[in-house]
Amino acid sequence: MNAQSEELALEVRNLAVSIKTPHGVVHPVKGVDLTVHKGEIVGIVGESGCGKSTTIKGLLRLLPANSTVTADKAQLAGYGDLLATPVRRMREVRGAKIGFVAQNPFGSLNPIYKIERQFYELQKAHKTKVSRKESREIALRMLDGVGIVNPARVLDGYAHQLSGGMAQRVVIALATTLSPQLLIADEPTTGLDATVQAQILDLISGFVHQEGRSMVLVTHDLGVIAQYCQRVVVMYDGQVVEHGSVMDVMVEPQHPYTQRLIASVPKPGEKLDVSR
Amino acid sequence: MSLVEIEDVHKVFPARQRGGEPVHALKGVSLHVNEGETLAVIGESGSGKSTLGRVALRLIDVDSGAVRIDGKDLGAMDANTLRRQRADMQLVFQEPFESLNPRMAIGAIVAEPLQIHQPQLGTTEIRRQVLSTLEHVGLPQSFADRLPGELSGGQQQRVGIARAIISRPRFVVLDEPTSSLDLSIRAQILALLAELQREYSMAYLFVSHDMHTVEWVSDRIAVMYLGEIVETKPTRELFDAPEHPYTQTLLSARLSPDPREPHAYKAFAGHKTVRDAVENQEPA
Amino acid sequence: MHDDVFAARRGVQMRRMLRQHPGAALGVLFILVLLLASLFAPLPYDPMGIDGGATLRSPGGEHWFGTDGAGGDVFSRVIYAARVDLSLALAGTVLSLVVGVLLGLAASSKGKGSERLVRGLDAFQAFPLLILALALVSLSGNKLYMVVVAIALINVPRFMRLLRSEVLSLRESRFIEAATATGASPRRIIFRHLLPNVWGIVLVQTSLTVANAIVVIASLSFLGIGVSPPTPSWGSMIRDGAGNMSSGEWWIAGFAGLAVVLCVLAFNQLADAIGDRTARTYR
Ligand SMILES: Nc1ncnc2c1ncn2[C@@H]1O[C@H](COP(=O)(O)OP(=O)(O)OP(=O)(O)O)[C@@H](O)[C@H]1O
Ligand SMILES: Nc1ncnc2c1ncn2[C@@H]1O[C@H](COP(=O)(O)OP(=O)(O)OP(=O)(O)O)[C@@H](O)[C@H]1O
Ligand SMILES: [Mg+2]
Ligand SMILES: [Mg+2]
Repeated sequence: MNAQSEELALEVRNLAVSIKTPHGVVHPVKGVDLTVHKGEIVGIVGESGCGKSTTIKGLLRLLPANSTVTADKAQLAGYGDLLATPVRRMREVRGAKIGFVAQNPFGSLNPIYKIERQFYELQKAHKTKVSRKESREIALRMLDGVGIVNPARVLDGYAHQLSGGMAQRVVIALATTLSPQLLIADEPTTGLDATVQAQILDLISGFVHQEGRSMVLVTHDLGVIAQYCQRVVVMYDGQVVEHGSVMDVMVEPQHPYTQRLIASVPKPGEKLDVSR
Repeated sequence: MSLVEIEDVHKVFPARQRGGEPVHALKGVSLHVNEGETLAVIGESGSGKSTLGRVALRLIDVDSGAVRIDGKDLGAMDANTLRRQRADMQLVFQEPFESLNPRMAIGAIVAEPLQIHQPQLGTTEIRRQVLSTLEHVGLPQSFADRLPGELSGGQQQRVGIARAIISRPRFVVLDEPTSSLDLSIRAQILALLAELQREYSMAYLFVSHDMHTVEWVSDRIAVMYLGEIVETKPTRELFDAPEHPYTQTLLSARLSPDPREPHAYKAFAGHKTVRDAVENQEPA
Repeated sequence: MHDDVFAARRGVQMRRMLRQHPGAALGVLFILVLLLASLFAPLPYDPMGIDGGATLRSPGGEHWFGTDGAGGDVFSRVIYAARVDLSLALAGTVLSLVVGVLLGLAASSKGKGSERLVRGLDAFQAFPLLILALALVSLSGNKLYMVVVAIALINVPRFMRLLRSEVLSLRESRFIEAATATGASPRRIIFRHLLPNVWGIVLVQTSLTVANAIVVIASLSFLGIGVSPPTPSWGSMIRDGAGNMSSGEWWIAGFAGLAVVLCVLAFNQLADAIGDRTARTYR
């Protein structure tokens, strides 16, 4: 929290996404505002299917061609307007300026390249001069950092040989390899047990707070929100229904959905009530 | 007799290329699941939980040991018998999107177990059951005509659950079935699973990282660590008196959802990894 | 028997695909017009006819593409050649597709047979296939069906390899594992899960195969094998016209060559467009 400032890292105003489908046009995101300061972790929570991933993918221009993204503003500090960037140029932004951890880790790993090669390609694509050997060393260090016990074995293997949680950590390592200013992570720790989750979130939040970076973190885990985020945005049906500091929102939720969400946290020692 | 019995199973994934090391994913795992019971499996990432689930359904062959369902040895069955046996056992995959055929409509995916094992039901009845199952997992009926890529992560996950339960199998392996669901839908799905269990005496092997969920749903818990089951206990007992250092670490790492109670847990008390922490705590 | 309870109705959305790839749209249009014209259009002159009084006329109002050494109208001949050249190419492609896909599926199953098939394939591909095809056609006494077989000979291994590599990588995928876990029969897995996911890339290869077949047919008839005079074909027209090139009568070989190039381009563009489309729906 120390390095948190008033300086903006990302400012999004009125982001909307519409998708043309054979069954008509759908509007999964209907005017979302998102403000991220430097040195801050902003959490996004919301019902399954409320448009969290679509908001992020819209910003990063990762949606399929049959979708339209509009916004009054989508300003990334030190870069410019994300939506004004041609889709082709976005590849340079992702990775170097914005690290992205997708909800589906296997979707962002290439099934036919060894993991080592994916680290190499990433670094090469951003014109950092690296040799294969240097790249491997960097990769080993990154994987070690996310708690992978046998990094060499992982580097020499393919994605399908990884367990779910290992794949997630590989993707986190890839997303942070180029030390981007902003990290956007979509449920990055769903496949990790509490110990590893804590290790990784400690690592990332250290990275964010000490170096004035920032992070957007989508999660369903209110514990993660409460313990690691400074501010939180609550989404419902494609809109932001509540936002504010974690203290305010988690302790005194205003919107009925947020209240319901916080009330549904299971109490320790409780047995599932089947009768409802 | 238990419905599912796994006895001293070993599984090694051979090294793919020369110089690589083989992975000993399961090192003599034994467990049993009774009818109408939920056995939760928890454990470090990469400790072999998903592999165990695959082994329990004989989706991969074991190197040694036996898997029995209803007293019948899955390893001794020929392909046809095994296929018929699959009517009674289903799997919810850990990777929701990857486990759905990207070119098949959601409705067709969910209908598949019925089409395969109960074709006599007829198209109209199968349709009806698919739509009502979708509704049970909280998806609108209109999703039946969509493709998997047009769903959110949590919606895809629920399609996987719908597919696994539609034929009311006697045994289901649920591999992180609610990891992408928000708390209120998670509660709804868990309640659905519990209801089915009561009604049809279904047995669940429930893999999860979420201790709250595990506490909620399970009757017993097996803790895996480095390819072995290090303790199995009734749920209450495990939470009250965790024995293995890994289990203790795990329980102390739970994050409080109340920002006013900052978590005391510092990753592994100065150790670099869970494994360091566990190994250095272990009584010599 | 595999009646769909639910279907996501979309298939390959031809119209949008062509709108996004004007090159492919133009290509498809060109091929259609050429094929229809060769089949039904009234040509200005008899494509088989000769006219001793009008040899080697340059392109102009009377003979749009000029005339050849025997006085045949080049325009009529180029269009008419599409009949035999394109039909042979398409027939050869269909044969390659059917045989290649079946063998490819066989070669990607688990078991000894498939290994043998792959080894056989490797040995087979060590032959210079074009020369083999050449020998085959000429030994058969220039039977047209042999041209079709020759095209298949060259392209079946490609389909096989493609299908095998696709199917092998799909086999590892979770949704196939899911189908197995559900209890699907091998047959069901092939028809409901594997094939629908390889169609896109097979279609790309099919389009490329037509392009390749057009070149093979032209090469054969350039060497005087396969389609034999007086039936016009682009290859033989190029050969006939080649001699006239040095003396400045470029149009005979020129227009026939252009037809080949445009057809090849058209099918390559179509392959590109389909490939793009498949990649996008798959992700
Ligand atoms: N290509 C598409 N066509 C039609 N609808 C779509 C498409 N992509 C997403 N949607 C819909 O948009 C909504 C928002 O999806 P999104 O993936 O953003 O949800 P989410 O908040 O990330 O949910 P989850 O927590 O389950 O991942 C969902 O209801 C989904 O069904
Ligand atoms: N097909 C495979 N080939 C080689 N190694 C594999 C394969 N599948 C799994 N493994 C290895 O086996 C070990 C156990 O994997 P498994 O997927 O069972 O872990 P898990 O306990 O489910 O982990 P997570 O909680 O991260 O999902 C891992 O080290 C993994 O890399
Ligand atoms: Mg999402
Ligand atoms: Mg797993």
